[in-house]
Amino acid sequence: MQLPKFEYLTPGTIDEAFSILLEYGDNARVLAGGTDLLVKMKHRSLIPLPEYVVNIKKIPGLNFISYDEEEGLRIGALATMQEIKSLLAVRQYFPSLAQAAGLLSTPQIRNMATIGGNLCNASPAAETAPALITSAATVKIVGQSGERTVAVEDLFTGPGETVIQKGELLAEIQVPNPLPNSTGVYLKHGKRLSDIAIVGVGVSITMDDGVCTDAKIALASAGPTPMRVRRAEELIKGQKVGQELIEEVAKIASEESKPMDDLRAYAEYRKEKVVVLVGEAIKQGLQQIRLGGS
Amino acid sequence: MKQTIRLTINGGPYEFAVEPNQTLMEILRSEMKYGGTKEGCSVGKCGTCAVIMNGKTVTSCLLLAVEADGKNILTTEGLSGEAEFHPFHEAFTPEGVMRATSDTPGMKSRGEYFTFCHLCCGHCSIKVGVEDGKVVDIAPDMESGFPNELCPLKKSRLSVPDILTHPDRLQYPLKRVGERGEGKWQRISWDEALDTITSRFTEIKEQHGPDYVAMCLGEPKGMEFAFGQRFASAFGTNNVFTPGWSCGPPNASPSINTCGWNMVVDETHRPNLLVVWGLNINHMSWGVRRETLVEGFKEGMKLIVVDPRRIDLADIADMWIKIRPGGDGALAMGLLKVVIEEKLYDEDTVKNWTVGFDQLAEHMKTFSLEDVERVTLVPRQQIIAFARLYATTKPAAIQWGNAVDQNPNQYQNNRATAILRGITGNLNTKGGDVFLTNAPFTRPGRFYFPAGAKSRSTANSLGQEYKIAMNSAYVPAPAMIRSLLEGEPYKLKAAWVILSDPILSYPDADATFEAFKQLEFLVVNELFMTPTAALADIVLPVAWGMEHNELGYWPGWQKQIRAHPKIVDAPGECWPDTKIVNEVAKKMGLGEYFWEDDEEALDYMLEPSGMDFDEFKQKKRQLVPTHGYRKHHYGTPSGKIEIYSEKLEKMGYAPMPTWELVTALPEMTEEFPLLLSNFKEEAYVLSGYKHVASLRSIRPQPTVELNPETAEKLGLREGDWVNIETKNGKISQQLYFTPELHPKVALASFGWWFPEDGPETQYGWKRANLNVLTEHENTSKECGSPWCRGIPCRISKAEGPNG
Repeated sequence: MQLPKFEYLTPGTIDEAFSILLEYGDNARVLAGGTDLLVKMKHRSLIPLPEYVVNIKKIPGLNFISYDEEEGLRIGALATMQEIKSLLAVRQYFPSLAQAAGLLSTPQIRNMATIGGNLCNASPAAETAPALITSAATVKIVGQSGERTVAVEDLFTGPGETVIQKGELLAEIQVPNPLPNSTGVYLKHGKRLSDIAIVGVGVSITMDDGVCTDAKIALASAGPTPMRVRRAEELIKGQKVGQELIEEVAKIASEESKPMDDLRAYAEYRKEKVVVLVGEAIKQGLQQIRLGGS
Repeated sequence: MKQTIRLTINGGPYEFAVEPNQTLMEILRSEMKYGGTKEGCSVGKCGTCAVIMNGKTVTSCLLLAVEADGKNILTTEGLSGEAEFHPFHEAFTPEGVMRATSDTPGMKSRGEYFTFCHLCCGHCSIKVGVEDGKVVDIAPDMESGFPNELCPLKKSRLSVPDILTHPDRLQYPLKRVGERGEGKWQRISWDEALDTITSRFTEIKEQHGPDYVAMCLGEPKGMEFAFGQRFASAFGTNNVFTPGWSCGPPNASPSINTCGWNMVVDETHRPNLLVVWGLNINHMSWGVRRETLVEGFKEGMKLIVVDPRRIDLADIADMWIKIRPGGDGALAMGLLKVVIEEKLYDEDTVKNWTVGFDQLAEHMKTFSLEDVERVTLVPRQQIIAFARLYATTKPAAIQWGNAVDQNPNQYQNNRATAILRGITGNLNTKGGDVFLTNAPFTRPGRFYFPAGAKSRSTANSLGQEYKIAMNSAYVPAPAMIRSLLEGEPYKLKAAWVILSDPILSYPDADATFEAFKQLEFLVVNELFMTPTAALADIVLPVAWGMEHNELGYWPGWQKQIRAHPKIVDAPGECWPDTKIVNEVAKKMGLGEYFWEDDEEALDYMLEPSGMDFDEFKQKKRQLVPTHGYRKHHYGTPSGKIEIYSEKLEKMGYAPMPTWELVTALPEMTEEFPLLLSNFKEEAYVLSGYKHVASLRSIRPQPTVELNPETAEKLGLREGDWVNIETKNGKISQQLYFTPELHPKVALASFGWWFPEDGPETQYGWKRANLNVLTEHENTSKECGSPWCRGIPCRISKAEGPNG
């Protein structure tokens, strides 16, 4: 399958990128890893087809991962899934993000796919979204008029849609340090691990003496955007966590989900899998905390 | 605007001027002419195009060539000098990411089984990974030494686990309870299903005669087709409809009536020049294998591709002949003209081993190369170069494809090609087009027509005017449509469809749909609900290839037999097609021609080998034919190459291909100014598997290709949904620009329906189905094909996917 024709632009600075994006608007698309954008272009599913493809990889300062005990984790938009998954600090302190990045497609795609692209593509199945949402991550969005910070959970407005405006770029992802006695888990159900998730579940949980003091649960592929299930979260917070409660939380999470039928799976099947994965993710989280992991 | 890139590929420095929309994969094919780095899915799922860039594996199909500027690229060609697998290939999927399960490896009981892929007629040898009773992965079989290079897209790996466990799979016999086609079904028992079928078929046979029941069979996978043919013989019906009109006989029969045998490209000793004519052999194997291509290229084999479409082999070919769809016979006649007039033929063969050469040479004077250029749209210099290269490179072979078979001029086209192969001295020589001697197993024909059963008789058959079809034990589909819609010469009452979806695969889909609605009783064996199954009275759920023991003997021209052992259980109450036919036959009192258990037939098939199925499965798995290379051994009445065939003349057919016959093509008009042909997408198998998500995400929509200049004149933009209209009907597909395509040609995709549209529309069979555009009139007199290639059409903007 050939790509449609386009003009290829490579801004060398972020300001140059802003003016290109402002000038061409919907006729321009940002190219990072290309593993989503070029597929959509090959499928001619972006209509109108972009006349300009703007490669942002020549812009300095967008490709880094840094960890600081005070500030937490900062990831440049162009960091690849393979880099994120492989970094020791990520594996140690942000295990759910490492799991999610490591479960995205195949090694050769992970070497290309970027975290910024994964978020801006705004797929309902976005692999890194549940882990980032439950880790209370924010994104730094930059534009000519300055920068703003948006929580990842507020980033998505619909399938393929985000709050990022014309002329803006997602520059960086910031993940705060986890609380003591807490951990994160990401689990995915797909026909193959390399396939898009039929359901993805991210859980973060903080425990104090057998009592859950904080929890976040987020789902992918279970609604029009990656989403939090707050009723389920409320149910577990402040409680001693036992088998019965876990089952109830998983059931409520499933009730809150809003999946649809598609060729990958029926909505009902997805709801069943939400129950299984949320339950399993909480149990794995408790186990990690008991074992004294992060 | 082109940009210059400089990069290192496998250690060497290169510089190319590339367009921004070219991927690195395209450069590696078209500039480096690499045969091993291939386009598979083209969307980053299959790994076939993976390369190592600056030490990291990436998918070159999703990497813009401009981004490879300054990079160091290592490809499979740089890794391995052998046409074998390098450890790197294995390492693509080191974490089991392609396994179709969410379980961690090692958690469940696991087994590995060797068999042959069941999807297309390439039948690659595969290793099947099974966990907990489910197929989870398919890998090439690296241990047995059988051809094992999977299609670039790795279609089996991406679809077989999904097909076998698909939630929409039929699991129980169903009977219709609503109006025909309304989609209301009731689950019934096998006993009820068999009783109903037996009593209805028997009733019709007694009241009207056996010919009022038709068998509709598709491409053989295992033994189902053979069981269907045998049932027809035992039951007594002459009306067996098969894809023979579009595949197989249109090429085999002209070959047999020219030189006495059907021929295939010699893959044991490879040709020095291979012509790939009308098929996308790298993606869909039914002849020359990918291994043969790779080996051949290493030995310096030249390649000529004849195709209107830029298939991937066109990129690495020495010559790409961009032919007018349907112009194949004219091109073959043009090649003959050059070969004969420049005396490039093999003199000994022509002098001592042909009948009618002088008449053909005389006939060549009646047309000019300008005429050939006008009809074929191929520049005459290219025709001359093609003819010279083909005639002077020895040995040379021609791999023909279905595209050449699917027109009313099919027979004479293929006669012309057969003569060309013959007079250039390429028949039955090492590396040429060769005749194979069967592996030792029961001939399919003997299986179809058991001793004592009724043999086919032209007297009562539908479509008896198609004499070649009659000799090949099939009736062409158009005869079924005429029977049901016009009652000519009589109206069928019932049909049993196995391995087939006629609403998608028969010409003139609207007429086929109406015709099938006329049936009083329709039985369909299927894996899933399909547009045709939606019209049935009884739908029977079938087991797939890996769910029962079977033998594969197709494609027939390969003359081999393979063991496809049972690997997993079928879901629900699915039965193998062979068991269904066997049980119906027994119930009908036809048991003498069948077996107590259908698997006993496998031993019967293997009798000449001296093995039973179990032994064959354990010890051999596959028996292959032998080559005799008996030069000038022609099985024709005269013992020579019959350029002029008295046999065909006596049958009422043209004794010699003529310019007039091969150029009787439908012309473009003001109303229909473009020529439509079609292609099959690499992701699917004919009309099958549109509901398998892993394949559908690779090719989500039907697409029609146009030259951008043509499209722009029509006011169409890339990505638009467009209507494609012929005098027969209208469909919608999504528009792709293909700059390499001839401006007068449109190429649409074949076999589309939309399972997600649901039963109300019989799964959207009307929307994009290519056969809505074909007709059932004006067919080949020999084999029964209507125009499928080069149909006058027009294209206009559609409102959306629904036209």
